[in-house]
This record gives sequence, C-alpha cells and structure tokens, in this order.
Amino acid sequence: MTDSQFLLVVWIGIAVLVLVILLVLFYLVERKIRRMRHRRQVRAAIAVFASPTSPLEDYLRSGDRTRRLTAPGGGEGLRREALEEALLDRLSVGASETERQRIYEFAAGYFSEEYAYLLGRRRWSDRMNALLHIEKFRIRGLKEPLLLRLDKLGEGGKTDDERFLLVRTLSALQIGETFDYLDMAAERFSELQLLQVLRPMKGEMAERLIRDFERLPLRVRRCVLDTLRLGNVRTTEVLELLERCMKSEDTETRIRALKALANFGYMSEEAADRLDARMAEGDSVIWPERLMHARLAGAVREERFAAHLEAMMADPSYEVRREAANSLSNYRGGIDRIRQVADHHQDRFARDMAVEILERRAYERNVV
Amino acid sequence: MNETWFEFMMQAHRIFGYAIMVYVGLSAGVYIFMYAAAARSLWRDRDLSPIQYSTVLETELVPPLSIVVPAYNEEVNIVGSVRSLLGINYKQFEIVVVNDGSKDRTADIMIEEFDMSEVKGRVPFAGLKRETKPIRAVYRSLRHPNLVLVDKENGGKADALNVGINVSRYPYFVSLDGDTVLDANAFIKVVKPIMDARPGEEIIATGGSVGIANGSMVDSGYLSSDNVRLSDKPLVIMQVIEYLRGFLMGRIGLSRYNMLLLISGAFGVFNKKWVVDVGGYETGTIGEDMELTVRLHQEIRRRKSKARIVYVPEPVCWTEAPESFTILRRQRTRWQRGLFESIWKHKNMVLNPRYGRVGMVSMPMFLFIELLGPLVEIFGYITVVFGFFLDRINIQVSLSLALMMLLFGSLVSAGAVLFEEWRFHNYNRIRDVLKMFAYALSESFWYRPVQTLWRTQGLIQAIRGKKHGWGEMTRVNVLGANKKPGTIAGANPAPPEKKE
Repeated sequence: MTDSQFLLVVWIGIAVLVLVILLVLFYLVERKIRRMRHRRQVRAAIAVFASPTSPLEDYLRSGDRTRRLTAPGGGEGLRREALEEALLDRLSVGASETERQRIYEFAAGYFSEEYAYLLGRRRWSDRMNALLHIEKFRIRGLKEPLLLRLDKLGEGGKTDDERFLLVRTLSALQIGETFDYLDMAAERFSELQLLQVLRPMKGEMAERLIRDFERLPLRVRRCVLDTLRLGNVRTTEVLELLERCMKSEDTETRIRALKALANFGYMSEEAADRLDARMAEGDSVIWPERLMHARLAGAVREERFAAHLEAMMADPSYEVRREAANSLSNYRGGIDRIRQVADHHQDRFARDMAVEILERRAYERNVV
Repeated sequence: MNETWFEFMMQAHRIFGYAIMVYVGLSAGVYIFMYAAAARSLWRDRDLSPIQYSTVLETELVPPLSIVVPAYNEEVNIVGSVRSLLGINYKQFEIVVVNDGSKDRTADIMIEEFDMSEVKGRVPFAGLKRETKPIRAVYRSLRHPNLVLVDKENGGKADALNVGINVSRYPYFVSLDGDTVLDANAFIKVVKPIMDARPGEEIIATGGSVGIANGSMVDSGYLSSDNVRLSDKPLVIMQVIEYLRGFLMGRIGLSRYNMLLLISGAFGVFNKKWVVDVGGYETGTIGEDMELTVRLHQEIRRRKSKARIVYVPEPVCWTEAPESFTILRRQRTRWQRGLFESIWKHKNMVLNPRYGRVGMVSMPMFLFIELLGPLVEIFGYITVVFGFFLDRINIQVSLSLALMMLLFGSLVSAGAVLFEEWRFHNYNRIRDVLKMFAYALSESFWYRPVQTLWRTQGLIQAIRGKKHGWGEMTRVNVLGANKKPGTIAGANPAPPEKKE
C-alpha cells in the first residue's frame, strides 16, 4: 500500500469517527431533552394528583371514580406514568388499609392491560419494571400472563433474575401455583431469594407450607422455619412443627427451629426436656447450636435452665457467653446470679462477661 | 562506521515502530471489547426502575453488615460521620470505628458522645493470622449496642482495617475510605449481588461505582441523585469523565468474566471468612485494596472455587476529587506506585495459565496497558521525533494517524457519558452533559499528556523504590458528614492521600 492509499484509509477512518461522535452527541442530547421534558411534565401531573381537590384524592377518600381520573385523551402515557408514581408514593408513605385496597382496585383496572403487554416485550428492563409494579399493586388478574411468561423462559442462567422476580410476584399475589415452582426455586435461587418468595405467603398458602412441610425440598424447609420466625406466627401447628424440627438430623434445620422457638417464647414440657438434655451435652454440640440453646433458654425462662446458662458463661465462644449472660439476666434473680459469677467464678472469661452485662443492665436502668 | 550506525538506527526504529503499532492495535482491541461488554449490559438494564431496591429494603432479609471505619486524628469529623452511619437505610448492621492511635481526642470524643463503656472480656476475634499493632481497649456504646470503638496503636490504614475485621461480628464487612460520601441506598445496592447469588456460588467481594462529589450538594453525609451537579472546574470535569469511563466501561466487562482486580477502597463489601483466610490487608503497601483483591483471586483459583468478585455499576459513593494540578499529580503518581507494587508482588500470576482468565487477561492488561501504557506512549512520541530526523516519517500520515487515535480516545470517553445517561441519568442539566461531552473531546489534547507524564513519573519512582510515609494514615473525613449543602464546591479539597 502506498502512502497516499494508506492516507486515504486513515482519512476515511477519521471521517467515520467524526460521524459516530456527532451521532452519539446528537442522540445523547436528544434523549436527554426528551427525558427532561417528559419528567417535568410527569412531575407537574403528580403535583396535580397530590392536591387535596384532585380526582385521585377524591377517589381515595370516597371510592368513587370520577371520569376526570381515568379520562382518556391527550397525554395518555404521561397521565399513566404520573398516576403510577403518585399511587406508589401514596403506598410508600403509609396509606390506610382502605386506601390501599382502593389503590389496588384502581391499579388492577387501569394498568393491567399495559402491564400484560409489557410482560411480552423484548426489552428486559420493560418486563422487569412491569413485574415490580404488578407486585407493588398486587394485580392478581395478571396470573395467566405471569405463568405463561414463566413457562416460556429459557433454561439458561441469564433468565434467572426474571425467573426469580416472576416467582416472587406469584407468591406476593397469593397464587397457589407458586408451589409448583418451589423445586425449581430450591435448585436455582439463593437462600435470601427463597425467603423473599416464602415471606409474602399468607392465609391458605402459609398453612399449606406447614401442612406440606415434609414434602418440600430441604433448602425450602430451612427457609420456611426462618419465615415463621420473621412472621411471628404463633399457632399450635407452628409450635408442633418447630418442636419436631428440634429433632431433625439436619443441623441447620435444628438451629433454625431453635431460633424460631426462642422467638416464639414458649415450648412444651417434652421439648423442654429435650433442650435440657441437649444443653447438658456441653461442648459436644457445635457453637451456633449452643448459642441458640442459650437464647431459647432465655426466652422460656424455666428455672432448670439457669444452671446450664451459668455454666455457658464460661463457654469457649464469645457469642455463646454473651448470649448466655443475656439470657440469664432475664431470669428472676438472674442479675444476682450474674453478680455471683462476676465475683466468684473461676473462669476469667465468665467473670469478664458478667461484669460487661452488669454494666449494660445498670446503664439501661439509668436511661429508662 | 557511521553508515552502519545509521543502518542500525533505521532498523531499530523500524522495529520500534511496528511494536508500537501492534501495541496500539491490541490495546484498542481490548478497549473495544470492554466497550461492547459494558454497552450490552447497560443497554439491557437501561431505565430500570429504582423500586427494585425499595422492595428488598422493606424486608428484614438483608444480610447483616459490619462497617469498619478507620479513623486517624478525626476529632472534628468522627461524631458526625458515625451519626450519619447510624442513620443508614439498612436493617441490621454494626459500626466498628478503629482509632488508629490518633494524637488528638478522637477516642475520647467518641467515648463521651456515645456513652461508650469498655468491653472487659474477650471480644470476637475473626482469627486473622497477620499480626496487628496492639489494641489498647475496646468500647461498646451503651446507647447504640451496634457501635463499637477499638482504640489501638498507630499502624496505618491497612492495620486498622485488619483490627476492625478481627473484632467485627458479622460474616460480611464493609470497608470505607476517608472522604467518602454515601449514596442513600449504597448498602442495599452493593449487597444485592450477595443476596442474589446462586446456590453453590459465593460472592466474596462487591463494590460499586465511585462518583465525584465536587460541586454537588451533600446533605447530612449523603448525596442523592437529585443533588448531583457537575463542577465548573475543568480538572474536576475531566476526572468525572475519567471515573465514568473507568468504572462503567472498565469494570463491567471484567466483572462479567470474574476478572475484576480492584474493589475500590472507598467502599467495598467483603466476605470476612475469605479475607481472613487470605490473611487480611497487606500493611505497608499503597494499593492495599487492589493487592487484597488479587490475593482473593489467587485463593479462588487455589480452591478451584466458583466464588465471584462482583462489580455493581450503580453509583454507591462519592468522593472529593483534587482540584489542583499539584494534588492531582501527587494522587496519580501514588496510584501508579500502588499499581506497580500490586503487580510486582504477584508477578508470577502474569501470563500464568494456572490463574485462568485473571492470569491470562486481566493481569497482563493491568501490566501492559495500565502500568506500562504511559511509558509506551512516551516511547511512541520519541519514535516519531526520531523518525522525523531519520527521514522515515511521512508527516502527513503521522499527523492523520495521531488525529485518528485522538478521536478514538474521545469517542471512548463520550461513550462513557452516554452509558451514564442510559442507566443512571445523574447529570440532569443539558449544560452539564454538553460540558462533559466537550471536555471528553478535548481530553487527548491536555489531560491525557499530563496524565501520561505523571504516571510515568510514578512508575519511575516505584522502580527506584520510593518509600511512602505510612506511619501516618490518610486524614479520614469519613462520609463528609460535617459538610453542609453546597460547601463541597468551594471547600479546600483535603488531599485524599497523605503527604509523602
């Protein structure tokens, strides 16, 4: 290639680069201007909806939908987006239960068609945004499109984010078919994702979790125990389930059951015997389980555990010592026992822990 | 003799010329690849609704975090910083402030302000094998049970972080740098990949993008995207573009293939167990954040694990950029020395197939493009000048080629501005965008040559073994909590690094 030919190629390259740079600039500015204008209009519309005399406020107060609220006409997309944001704002600042119901009802009528359409869009973020909104507005009517979308998803890992959001949405909408996807969820979802799927289940769905507990995959079972704890569920069935899980062969299941029981704050006599026996085993039990034993003993406050707790204040693990001291301080005469430990225990770590907890309790008394 | 000499020069010049052309071609290829990977990912996620975070935040399912805050001579800022941290948007966390042997009243002020009482017993110990400077005492706040103060002898930032790791309770810890202003949802953004990890896959470190706070309005230690403004100072604008390019383009591609070599020290979340297993932070180095990340990669390969180090493109924190050439120069030469140290220490990984993609792609990339790039560039200029004297250069062709490369560099920078707009649109004024774009185009004419010079200086200093004063650590102005809205713009920027 001669110099002049080479030069020609370089200049073509330069021309292409200049053209691309100009195109990027044009696209960037055009997109920015369009977006800014749009946002300004949406904000203005939201402000209108937020005023006390707006048709939206009117609807939320009375439940009567005026034509002004849903009137089609110019700027339909804009009105939709503004309504969407106004309703979400309302939900996030703590709307009353009646208001919530009205919001869900309105959203189901007004947004369903749009969301169903978006669920089928090629653009990933459109589908994800639609799912997030369906979940927030609890649009149960979209069950079919959701199931359809879930079944249509490819097997690859790239679709996992969407798959998770779909299952979580199904669960949030209390759709029974969620159970059909729990096996898949146990294989593909992280533990925290599983919890996000299980946590919203209420009523019949939650009962089914307890009823069919043994048939669930192990990972799901462990998460169910956490869900029961987080949800503060206190029924006889739950108590029975938790006590049964105390005897599980799976350590993780046992630990979570103990944690949930401690939160429950009550256990049957038979389960208490079992705890007593386990606590007597001392260091042969792994420390996270010992920690939960201490916590549970502190929650049920039965005199027979006090001696175990006192012994646990000299545990090799700091966390266990701290938990044991904390639990013991909840007992009648517990503070005195801790004082005894502080003064006379032969183990230095136990004495130190006792002093620490006494100081904290003294401070709490002063503050309260 | 003269003729042979001349022949030799000609030959050498020819070889240099070709080598540089190959180098330029390869590095442009790497850039194009990273550009494409980033574009693909950000295009997919563009305009994703922020309610994705609110849904997760409302749950109590977020993993608990230990936030380690090293502090040295921080009596002015520490209370405000800790206050703003105590108010973070997160369910379960503890704050471990490590007073690194401050000469002022940092520890006393903490103790008085937060009703701290000494923990007499043994405190949690993560089991880090590395020796640390002795701990004088550990305190826990009686008012906020999740606030701990460790008072220790001075040993530098890395040592302070190691002590913080040792006494932290939770399985994940956050390392925070001085001068960092947090995004209100920083923690949830960075923790999300940990929450979403597939069964069997472990996320051992995550970090997000760092933005530049100069010109923005910081409110109670936080900066939300509504308050982001572009500074008027050309040097700062250039750094904004540089950060966008470095984070949005550089790291997305690397993270996708698990080749990320750097989780920024400004804000990163780490799995404590892994960090303890690799021995914690290396003391006495400049780039301790990169050095740790490289060691984590080594450990992943050694265990043949599926663990990942992940980068989240979302901006999670904002830092104050140097506004003068002197301070910027000091920062950049220092960064270059840090880079040299990290690569030199792990030179056995470079082009070593045992370390997989990290050894074969990212380490060589950091060595040849990041570390040696400036040197090659200077050689390039020298070759051109020599070529001119040897009459081997067609001026017209050379200038045209130079123009093409300049335009290519500018296009890359302009692309970064575009990516920001797709995904985050933090800069909401047309004026700001146009300004950024114009500066992106001008970069090659003033900012880049200066950078090349500084980085080469840094490299030379590193090779000559310049020592850095590490006994005194960074003056930490954690989270800029003391700053009132608008004060960052006109404030004297405290150098983000210590005088050497």
